[in-house]
Amino acid sequence: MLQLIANGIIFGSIIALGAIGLTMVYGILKFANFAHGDTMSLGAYLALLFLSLQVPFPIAVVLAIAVSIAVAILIDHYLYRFFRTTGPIILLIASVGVALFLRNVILLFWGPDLTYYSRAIHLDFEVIPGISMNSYEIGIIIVTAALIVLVHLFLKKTRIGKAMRASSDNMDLAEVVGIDTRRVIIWTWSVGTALAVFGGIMLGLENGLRPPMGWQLLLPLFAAAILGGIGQPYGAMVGGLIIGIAQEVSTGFISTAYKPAVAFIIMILVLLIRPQGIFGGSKRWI
Amino acid sequence: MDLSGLFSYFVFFLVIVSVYGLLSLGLNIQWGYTKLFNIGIAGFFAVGAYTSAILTTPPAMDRVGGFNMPFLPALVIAVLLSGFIAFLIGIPTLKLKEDYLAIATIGIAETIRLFFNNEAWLANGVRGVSGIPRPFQHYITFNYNLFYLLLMVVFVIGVYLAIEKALKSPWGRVLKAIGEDETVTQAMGKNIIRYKMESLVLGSMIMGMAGSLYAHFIQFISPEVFVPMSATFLVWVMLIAGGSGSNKGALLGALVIWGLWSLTDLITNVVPVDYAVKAGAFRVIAIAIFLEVILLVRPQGILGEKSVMKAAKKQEQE
Amino acid sequence: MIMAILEVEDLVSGYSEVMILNGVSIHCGDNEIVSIIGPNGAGKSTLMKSIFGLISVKQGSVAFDGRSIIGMRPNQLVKLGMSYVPQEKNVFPSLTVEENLQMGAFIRNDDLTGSMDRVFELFPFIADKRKSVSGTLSGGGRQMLALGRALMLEPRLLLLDEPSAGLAPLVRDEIFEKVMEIQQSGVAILMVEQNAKKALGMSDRGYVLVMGKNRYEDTGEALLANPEVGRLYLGGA
Repeated sequence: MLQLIANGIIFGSIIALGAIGLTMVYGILKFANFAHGDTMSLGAYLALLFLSLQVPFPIAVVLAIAVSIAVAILIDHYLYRFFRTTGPIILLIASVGVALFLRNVILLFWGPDLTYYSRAIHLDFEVIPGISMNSYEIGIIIVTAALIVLVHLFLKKTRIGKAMRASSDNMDLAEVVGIDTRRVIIWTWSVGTALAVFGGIMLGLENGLRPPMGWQLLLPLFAAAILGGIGQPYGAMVGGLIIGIAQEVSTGFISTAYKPAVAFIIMILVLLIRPQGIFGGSKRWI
Repeated sequence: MDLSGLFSYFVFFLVIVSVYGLLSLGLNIQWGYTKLFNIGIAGFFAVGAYTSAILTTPPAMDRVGGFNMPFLPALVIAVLLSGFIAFLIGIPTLKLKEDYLAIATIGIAETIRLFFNNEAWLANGVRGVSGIPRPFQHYITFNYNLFYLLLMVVFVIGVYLAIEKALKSPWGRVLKAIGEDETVTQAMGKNIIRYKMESLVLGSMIMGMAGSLYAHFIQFISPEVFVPMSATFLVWVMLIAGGSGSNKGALLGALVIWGLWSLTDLITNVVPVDYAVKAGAFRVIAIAIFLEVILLVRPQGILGEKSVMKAAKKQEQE
Repeated sequence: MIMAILEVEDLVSGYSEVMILNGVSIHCGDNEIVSIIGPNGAGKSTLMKSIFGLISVKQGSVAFDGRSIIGMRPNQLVKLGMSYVPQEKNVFPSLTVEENLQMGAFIRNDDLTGSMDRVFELFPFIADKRKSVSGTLSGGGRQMLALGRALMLEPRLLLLDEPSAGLAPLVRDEIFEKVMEIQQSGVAILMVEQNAKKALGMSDRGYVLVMGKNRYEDTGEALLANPEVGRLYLGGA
């Protein structure tokens, strides 16, 4: 049981990183981005590409993030931008198209088979009694914790972070008071995509890479975002951990194949009981 | 391919177009008129197909059923069950913002697929159900596929006429009004959620009907059939290309998009096996780009009303 | 005539099909308070939004400080020295009072303490709550915060859309007093007000806007004294 919870924290960290970006885009650009999971896959595969070019791992991560952000901003500029006045559903449909596009571009270049960043085997060892992890997994938890602190500082302390919170409150007012909302949008895509790429690479480290890896994560991502109260990054962090733990613990009772269904059922329960999410109430970023 | 081969290919093609036509009509009720965003079409399609499969097949040792039930009663049950599941989904989601319905429907579709995938006792799991009987087979002395095409045409026309008639009734006018402007309709004192629920259930019933008819035609179904790409996304492209809000557009979209899809499939089959996966990926990329171009250039579709544009203008005014 | 800081000439604007303004001409001098009154639907808020670039102008000209500002985005206008306080939902509820003020000076990269202190001096009420989340402020507190935020860039012209809307009479008077104080510190004010008598009473000049056109123009006092305006737009003789 303890081990399952630990696994849940690892998996939940990955979900949390994805869900923060999803919820930010929802808060500021006001649409459910169905391509977010595939952005995670894209980042993971780009890291694989740079690694294969003998780039050291940390630099490969940075390059993967940079290229993914560029892709996200280009898609926004050439596609989503035109639908901002047509309402959230057209944007949603467009993002489903983008999701398929990205996934199949990955399939086209890298093929359908499971691949790994490295063939090296990382042995599990007992971190504390009853919980074993390998060094990757410890790294995942530490990096996620560090990223969450960074996101917090970014939103609370920087001018653009505050402007993002302001835009999420009221985009029209943000425009009126003189906030450069175009810059806010670019930053939203950048931060959300960077976190997604981190999450995607971690997922690749943990489970290997397959083209549908991110798409299959979409349901837990939405579940986490809704659980935390959509539009609220802090909620998404907690929501991610809860969904991750719930999914892993469920494997103690039912087939692992049902993990996505567990996320879905939690989501439906939240929608039934407390649709504004656990941190909801007012639309607030704490 | 000789002439008779071409003919039977064409008949087969049109039967599949009719199945998609039904899916597209069902989606049009939900999205075209009441702006309900269902991206779990595959789920309702699967429920219809599996219900019919389990009910009409002969008894099997390794799974539930079959019950040797005749075609029509099984079809009715399949349709009702799809509607019932839509009803359950509607309860928590219809009173929320539209995006939640989207997320919930894709969730239910995936859950349904996982369920059939893993519960071998129910419908043989990944191996699927085979030997689904063909309705009225013993009475048909000519080309069976041709008969089935006629049967499909009867269903499609029947559904089409029923929807058109319903839309001209006071009920249908409210439904359309909701899609046009929800707040105004609400102000008129109509219970929006009830109408949305009816639209969701009705549309999903038609999707279930499509599933049942598909299963009887192909005679074999497995969870693989109900992946989001072929069973949900294509239907969306069909409706958007044809023109949401127009039933003729929904049918035309099914024909055009399935035509393009099959054409690219033929090309995929020609290339060496090594490239088949890549060609398949390329095909999806092409259809995804096609969708975005339609959204950008002609959001109302080939035959659609300009409701999307109207909605946009309205929003601008607020 | 005093040099006009804002000059609106024959303005036609509105939404895609419906024009709401059909040729409005107004001006506002340096350091003047100008009020725009008129019945509901006359286009008062539309006029403000058109001046501030939120609604696209179909015809006519809008000049700030002698230069055309048509087609400029709000973040450019604030740079020129013009701020706008919308009628409602005019603070960011999840941000603190201080953060709200910082957003008013988004285009500035330097230290904001000086400007912020001046705002807090003018509005001691919100100074006490600088660390509180603004969603918890009262209606008057929010209006003060919105005014304060608009002053963060030390504008030369302030556009106020119904600054007293939804406020209790006492609070309303306080807000009007603050508006006077702002003007005395050297800021020109163009104001749309429902509370016409009060607004004209404190204004240098006023306009009566009817059906998308300015129908009367005079000093505040003269408009108050004009029997026709009184009968039609000031609620009784």
